[in-house]
Amino acid sequence: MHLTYLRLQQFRNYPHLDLQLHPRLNIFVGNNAQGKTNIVEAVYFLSEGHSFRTSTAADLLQWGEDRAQIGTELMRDDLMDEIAVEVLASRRNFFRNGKKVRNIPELTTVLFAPEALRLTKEGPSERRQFLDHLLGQLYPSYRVALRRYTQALLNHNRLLRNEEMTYGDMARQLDGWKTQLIDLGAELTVLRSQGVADINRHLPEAYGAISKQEAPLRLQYLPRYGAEEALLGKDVVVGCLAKAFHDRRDDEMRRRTTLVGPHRDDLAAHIGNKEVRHFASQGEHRSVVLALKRCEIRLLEEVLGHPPILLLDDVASELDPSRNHAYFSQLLAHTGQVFISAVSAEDVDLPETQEARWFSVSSGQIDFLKK
Amino acid sequence: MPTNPIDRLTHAFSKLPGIGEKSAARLAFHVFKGDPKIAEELAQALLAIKCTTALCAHCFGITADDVCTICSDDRRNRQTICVVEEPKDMAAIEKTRAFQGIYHVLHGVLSPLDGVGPSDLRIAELVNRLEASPAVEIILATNPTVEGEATSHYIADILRPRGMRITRLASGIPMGAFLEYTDQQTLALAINRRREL
Ligand SMILES: [Zn+2]
Repeated sequence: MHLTYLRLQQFRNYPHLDLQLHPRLNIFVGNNAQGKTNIVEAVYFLSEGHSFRTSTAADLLQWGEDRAQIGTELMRDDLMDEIAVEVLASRRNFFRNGKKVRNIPELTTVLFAPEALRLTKEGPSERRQFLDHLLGQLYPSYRVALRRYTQALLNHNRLLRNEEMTYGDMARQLDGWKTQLIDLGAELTVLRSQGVADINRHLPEAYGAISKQEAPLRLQYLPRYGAEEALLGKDVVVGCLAKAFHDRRDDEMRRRTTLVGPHRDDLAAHIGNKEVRHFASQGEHRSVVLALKRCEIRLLEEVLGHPPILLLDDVASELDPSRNHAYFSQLLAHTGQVFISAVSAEDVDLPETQEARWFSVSSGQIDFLKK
Repeated sequence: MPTNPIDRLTHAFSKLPGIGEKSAARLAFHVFKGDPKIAEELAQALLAIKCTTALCAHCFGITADDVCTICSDDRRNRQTICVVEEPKDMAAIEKTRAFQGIYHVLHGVLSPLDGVGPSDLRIAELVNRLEASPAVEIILATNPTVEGEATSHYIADILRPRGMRITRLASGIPMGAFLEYTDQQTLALAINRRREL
């Protein structure tokens, strides 16, 4: 699967751009704020329907314009589809071969941006996001369950914060939301547990290729409730969550927020018996994140039957030279299309013989770069 | 100085949902040029909808009289009450002609995020109704959104002590549809809620 060209209209700092793409590596080199990340962002938007840099669609439009357009041609084996997305301030419209569609599920990307390097360091919400994004791509039912779960959670929390309601009224009204939180929560817990097991299946190979550590890397799923039960299936988790809700009911009323459920889950990575978050060196953190990304690609490849498109936004500059080398040799094992943005061509450590197209980006102007 | 009649009618039409300035002007000119009977019929129908419609005293559906045609139809089965969110849902079920019972319209769903609680819906009215004439079955036909589910759950909890049968609409793959064209959400739900054969 690859994109043959990219066409941007009124998108960010590009009034009009037409780029012929390489089926393998496309490397965009330029200083910050010149527009190289905008290219990566445009490809990401085509597959996800939102940006990874902003939640305000208006940021994507050129000043004074009310819409932007991203167009491409998607090749899958010998099938060709014209794909476009129209970005407006309040919504977006997808088109496949000129016909309006809800989304483009066949176009799958894996993004690797510097922020991902925080994955193993910061709070649990970053790790849940990583899992949510991956599982949403692997299982369509996960995305639906997560959306419904979030909506039920917001309503449940709003009720809990209502200070004028009597205890009895509150309990009666909470019940309808709680039942859904338990049902959807159990579904998410089971899929997350399954997803982490899938990641662990690929971790030894992925980590071994990047790090010379002897000790194995393992990812552990940490739901507050139902860690063991998650392996036994949804019904068992439902029972477990229901009991937890019951046990913590008074606590919940007092603290006025939902205390039980997958919105409080976490993940932990261990190298041998060392927990990465507390004991790993800077270099080890990077290796762990690179390995996790590698697993994400592998899993998507398994499910989709072809490699996803890789988006690497300015990651190379974050790596030391030896990791940089290991990282790019890993990349070359990935047979799909790759978009790379980098500040300088030296950051991208590729063998001379590698087939790639190099572009230089300066004030929204893109030229071929001879390397 | 008063606005000219064409502009006035255009302005009025443009307040309706889905009608922009251009379509409003086109409608206004159409009425202006057309048969006077069209204007008369339109004027009467418009006034009638506000002056002569009300909410049915029993089911809170829309009616021209005190009690709607469904509630006053002797052939309907009063033992089965179908609870819906809006009058338009009642109309949708009626079109199927698959339901012989009577209705109860809630006029909304529970939604704490939007500040909608049980007292904003016609739930107390449903309880009063059942008090006056008990039913055998209540069908909860709110939409399969999280709000619709929470509302059905709440009503079921309130009615359960009365010992009547309480059912919820089934959801799944549309009849006559092919699996490959069914949206992922519906298909995933249908797999999760599969039944024994
Ligand atoms: Zn009625």
